[in-house]
Amino acid sequence: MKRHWRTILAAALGLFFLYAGGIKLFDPLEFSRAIGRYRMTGAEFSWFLAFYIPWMEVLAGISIVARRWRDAASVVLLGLMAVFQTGLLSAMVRGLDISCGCFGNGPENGILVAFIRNIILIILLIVLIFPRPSAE
Amino acid sequence: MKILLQIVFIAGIAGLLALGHRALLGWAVPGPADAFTVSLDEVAKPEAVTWVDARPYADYRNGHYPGAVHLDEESWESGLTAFLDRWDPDQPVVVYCDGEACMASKAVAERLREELQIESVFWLEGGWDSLKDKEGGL
Repeated sequence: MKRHWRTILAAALGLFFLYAGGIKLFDPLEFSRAIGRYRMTGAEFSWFLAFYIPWMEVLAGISIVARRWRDAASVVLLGLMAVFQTGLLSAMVRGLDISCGCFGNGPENGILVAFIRNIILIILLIVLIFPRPSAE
Repeated sequence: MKILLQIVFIAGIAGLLALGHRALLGWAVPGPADAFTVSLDEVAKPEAVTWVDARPYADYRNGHYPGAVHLDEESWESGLTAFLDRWDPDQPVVVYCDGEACMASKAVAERLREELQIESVFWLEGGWDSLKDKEGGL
């Protein structure tokens, strides 16, 4: 039963990050603008991140769904989430009235909702890594 | 150790894919060039334009184009009130930010177009840098 839950959780998380990364890959310009709105990076670095972050999400998402290097992919995503949370927290502290850009040009619910959602994702990623059944 | 190598591998492959993707779309950082970009030379009557300064407020306070209203995404609501007080619907709106690479002017102009349905809103190529250079000539 426990194993089933981990499989379902892994599939859900993997597909979520596949979607989040994939949708941004279709419009790097919009995502680079979203990164730029945080006022933490220059235009050049924003443009670079607009390609790098989505590919990380997509590759990690595929790894988790495919059950290949799942722990490594989860750690990669945890690192990304830490970066996202730092950006969101910084934006909240500075009172920035911006969308999070988490889904590129897709649906947005504001920074606070994104921050809370990311906390849930971080918890789920940690659950995915620890503890692991010895049979797996 | 094994997991560390896997992490490096994922990060590396993502980097290669990102480089390839970027190469396909062009290496240059996209500037604001499109149909709604104007250069300073194209602004025939600067006095008949509603100027919007999309730089951070501290920069605006240190110097801005005469008559420009401050409006950026950090303080959108309060800036919008000031903009609406100043805006003349018969005049085009030109938004500027720091310089060639900044994206704030485009974002603000697009938001004005979407939220207020203003058709005649443009962003200035070269931004504040070009305004400063030609300030004497305006």
